[in-house]
Amino acid sequence: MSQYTPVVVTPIAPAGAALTLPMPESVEWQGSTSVTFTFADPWPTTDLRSALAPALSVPAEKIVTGRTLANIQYAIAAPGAVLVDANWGEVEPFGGGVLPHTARGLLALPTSMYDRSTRRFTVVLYVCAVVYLWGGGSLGA
Amino acid sequence: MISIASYPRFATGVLGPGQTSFTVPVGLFDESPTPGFTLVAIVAYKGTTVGGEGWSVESPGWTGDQTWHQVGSAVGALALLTTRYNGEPEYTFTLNVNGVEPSAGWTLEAIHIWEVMGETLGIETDLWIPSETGSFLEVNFPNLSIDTGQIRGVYQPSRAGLGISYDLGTSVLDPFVISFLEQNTDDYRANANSADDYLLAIQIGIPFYTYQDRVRLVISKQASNIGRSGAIQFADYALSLTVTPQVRFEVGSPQVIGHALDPYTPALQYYVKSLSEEEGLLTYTGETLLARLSREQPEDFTAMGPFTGREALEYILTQWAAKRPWLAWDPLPEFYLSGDTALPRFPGLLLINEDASKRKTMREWLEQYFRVFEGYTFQATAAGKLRVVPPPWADPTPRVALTLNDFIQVAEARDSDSIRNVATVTSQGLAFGDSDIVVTNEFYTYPGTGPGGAIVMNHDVTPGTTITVTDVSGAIVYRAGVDYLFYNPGSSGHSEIQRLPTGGIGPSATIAVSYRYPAPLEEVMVPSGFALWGRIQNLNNFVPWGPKPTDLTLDYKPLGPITAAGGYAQPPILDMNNTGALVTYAPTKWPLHDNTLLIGNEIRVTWNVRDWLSQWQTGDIGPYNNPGQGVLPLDNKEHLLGITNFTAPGTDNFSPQQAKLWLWGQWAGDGVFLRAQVWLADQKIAAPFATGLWVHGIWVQLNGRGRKLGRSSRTYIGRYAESDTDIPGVTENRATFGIREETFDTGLLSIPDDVLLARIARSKVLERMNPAQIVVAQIAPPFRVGMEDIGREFILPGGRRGLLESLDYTETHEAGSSAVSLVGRFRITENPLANQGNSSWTGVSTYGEGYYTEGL
Repeated sequence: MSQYTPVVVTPIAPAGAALTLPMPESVEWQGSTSVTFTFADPWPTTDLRSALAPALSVPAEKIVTGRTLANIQYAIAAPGAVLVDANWGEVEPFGGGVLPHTARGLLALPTSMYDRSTRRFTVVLYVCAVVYLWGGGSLGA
Repeated sequence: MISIASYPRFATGVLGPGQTSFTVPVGLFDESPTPGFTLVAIVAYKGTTVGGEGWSVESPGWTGDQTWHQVGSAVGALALLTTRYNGEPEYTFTLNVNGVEPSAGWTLEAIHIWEVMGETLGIETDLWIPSETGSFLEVNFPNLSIDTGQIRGVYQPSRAGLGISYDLGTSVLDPFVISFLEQNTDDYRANANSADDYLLAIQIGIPFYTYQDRVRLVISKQASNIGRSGAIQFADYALSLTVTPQVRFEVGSPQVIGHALDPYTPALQYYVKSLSEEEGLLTYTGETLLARLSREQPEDFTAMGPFTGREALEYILTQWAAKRPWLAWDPLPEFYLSGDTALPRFPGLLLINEDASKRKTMREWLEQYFRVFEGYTFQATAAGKLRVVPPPWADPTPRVALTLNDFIQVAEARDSDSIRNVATVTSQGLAFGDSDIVVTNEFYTYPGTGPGGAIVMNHDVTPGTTITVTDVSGAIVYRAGVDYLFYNPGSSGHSEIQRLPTGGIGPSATIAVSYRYPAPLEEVMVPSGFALWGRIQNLNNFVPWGPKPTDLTLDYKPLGPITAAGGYAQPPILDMNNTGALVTYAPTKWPLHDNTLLIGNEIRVTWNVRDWLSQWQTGDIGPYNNPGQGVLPLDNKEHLLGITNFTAPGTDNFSPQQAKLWLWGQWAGDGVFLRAQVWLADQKIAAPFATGLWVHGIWVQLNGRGRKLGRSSRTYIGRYAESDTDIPGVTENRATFGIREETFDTGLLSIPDDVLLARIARSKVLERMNPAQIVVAQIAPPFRVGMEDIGREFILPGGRRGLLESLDYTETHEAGSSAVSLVGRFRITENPLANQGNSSWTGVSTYGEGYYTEGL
């Protein structure tokens, strides 16, 4: 059973204090486009939604991502978007050490779910180097 | 926003040097302001170094802010003030520099006051102040009644013609916007006070909506000639904008819009065309001024050349704009022919619809005149002006190099259909003809042009005179029982003498002299003209068909008498103008034919004097034609064009003889003043063969011929023919693709030069010999390719150059997602002889001199 270190999210544009999220249930890379963190917690102890708020770009539906022919990932998001760096590590539980990962982009919360057995958050990091804002302006350009 | 007072810089007598205090009387406002509404004033000064504590414009009740720039020793100062109108009779604005009103060195440049109504886009005005590239003007409006926040504008002369409007309001509701639109300073330089002056066009107003209201925006190309040869490139775009329901535009109003990532920088100005509502959202459609050009049918006009293409377009647009304030344009480029460095000239402009029921639109006229200048793109700028973008080979604008990072997706296609390897260019444009009728006129003595016209007799015989009909016998041509005179006393104040086909005349019948003769054509019986009438004198005995000279005398007064030498005594005898009315001397202008362009220094005038005699007894005699001709110099002086002698008709010996017509003309710039005099001989009835009642008619027809602009009568042809093989690869091309001929007509531009036409034909083959390479690319944010770039050449990744032919923009914001897409179409403008077989977008491209053949 693999494990992860907690995810550290650092807003860089606009800059902000680093946030530490709990250890994710799973981390899934979609090529170089996005990273999906799934948090599942049968006994909710952390208000993840509130904890994430300073680093979250909302609404998720307004986020458009793309890649230029030069392989530069960009995103378009609503004003108020936050460009973040996310750092986490894959932990090999039997002394194999930690494999660190880092990615930059926009954090979005497209789905979350709560039922009788668990609470589940899907947090997506849309990988991008630059964010353009609907209505003008940019981050990280 | 309503302008209520405006004193522009050149309001002479109002503003001037040394003036630092100025009073604007409310009574002189263009429109009276409404009490309670906000007024906004812009006051511009020019002066000397401020230093110290700075400057301000002060007026009781007004608050605001000001800014100034210094360029050398010149200072441009701009104040933006607001107040609430409370019925003040006048406002006085006073300049304050370093605490005091300066005594010299400052000039009030302009003052404009608007009333803010909160609904219109804005008002534009011009200000000259010294400034520098990239200067900021930053102003706060704390006192506006609407929620404004901070307002800031910047202008950048380095980006010629591009206005930047910042809406940085902290409140997104109804922010007040001021934008500074830098004009092309070279154009206005003549009006500048010094080299440091820049013209700022200030647009001030309330934005009609904010970006948050936008739901959908589609900007798409309309039917156009983009990419088509032999036509002007008309970058006509239409817009469809869906917004939330509080956004209200007036249909017909001008609006601007920018793309999603820079919505407050105008990318396109459009006019609202229609409004529809669906599911609570409003959808506006819009069109640019190019669409209006495609629809409006202008009035006819002509102009004398020669014009270069640029001058011609400037002239045409100026004519059109006189009645269409929406039509404005950027400085125009010179127009060159593809493949040639000569500057062709139009002999003149002849924008006359041949078919009044199918009037040409402005675009069609532009097509007619400018299709010969291939590669020029007509586009609408973000400022709502027409701009003509020259083709790459005539465009000195630095090229923007696009990188792979500017593209998301590309597709490249090759179009063999456009291949042309033979070309024929024809020209039958406008030319000055040699002998065209440019002025025509005619006048006549009756409201008719020949025999059968009205006979109007005005017998000046003393009423009460009696005529005794006596025996008519002997040598008189009198057919007893056939011709009769009958006196028909009228009941309505006049009587008539009628000739009866049958019946008899009673001897010694008495005829009252108060009579008139009926006209054969009653409806044209208008008393007018040059009717010779006989005066019957001393008629105690009236002898029909044979009046004895002693009984009947015809006196042709006021005709002039013939002198003993056979000449004429004193002119004038009779003048007549072209209305046919008898006049002493009243010249009437003989107008140049409508829309006639005359060239040369004279008009050749020909005329024909047609005369006839309408005689009661014998019927009409004539007509007789008496032609004449003369030359009228166009020197604004009166000239005798000629004299026509003619013998008035008459089969008998009482007819007038030795008639004579003098014709004078005088050029008047747009027509000819004409004066004619007709003399007839004094003549008396000599023989008893006529009734003595007759009318002499004269009809003068004139034609003025001159050199006139019209369609050339000759077609010139230039070819790049099958036998021409000097273009490398053209032989192989023809072998591969077959003969493909381009035919092209130069429209209204006359190129009477077969050699030049052949050169143009060659250039067309050169341009189109290889397949067209079209690159359709999705542009990546932040969209470095814009609407105003249409027609411009870009350097594409890999080094190739491509002309931006069109753009399509789509933006949607739906509940589940947002999307934006900008797709550009580029036409590769590389050396057409380049080997295009081994190119790829992201990989290695190889180019070289060569030509295209299938299968490479």
